[in-house]
Amino acid sequence: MRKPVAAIAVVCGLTLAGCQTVALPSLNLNSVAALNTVYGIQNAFGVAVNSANAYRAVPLCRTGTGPGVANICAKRSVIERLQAAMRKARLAVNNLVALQKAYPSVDITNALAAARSALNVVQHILASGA
Amino acid sequence: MVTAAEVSAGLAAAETIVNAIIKVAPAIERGVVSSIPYVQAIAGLIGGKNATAEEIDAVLARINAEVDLFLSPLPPDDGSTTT
Repeated sequence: MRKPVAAIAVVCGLTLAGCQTVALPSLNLNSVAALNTVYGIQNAFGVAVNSANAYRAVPLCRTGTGPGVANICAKRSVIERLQAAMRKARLAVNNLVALQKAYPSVDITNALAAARSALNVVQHILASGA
Repeated sequence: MVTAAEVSAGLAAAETIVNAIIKVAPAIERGVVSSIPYVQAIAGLIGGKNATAEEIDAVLARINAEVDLFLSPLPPDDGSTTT
């Protein structure tokens, strides 16, 4: 139940972030849209991080075993891949926030794309751990 | 026709599954509960609420702390958890 809810929330956040990048007619509106875009992707990332922490909190699978209904465990290799992806996603999201704060009227499309891409990788690895 | 032995075996399997879930339930519950503010924020955006710079700063600080927790090293693999 947890994974579908988390996945829907991440997808909603990413979709929302994508929807907010349309060019708007005034500087003020653009700033509002940029804030909402950043906030949307941040919160999608927040759901992903919490899902990852929940995954990490379950016992590690024993060698030669895998997760299943009767063996709830986390694969070491999945956690390690998630850690690498999470480092990149954190950097991308922090860069996105920093850019938006330093240059509120600048187009954040590229930084946003990088953050979305990094977050998609995290989401795929999370899904693979099921 | 289901035999008594098959019923017993089914109950034993169910008990194993339930025990495994109960064992990890607190961790899963923590993950779900701590995701709620993020889900609510996304719902707010969908509902038309605009984000503020203060909210962005607060969420970033919270996320960075949670990522730090996730990035803490795993216990070394002595060969028993090579998966």
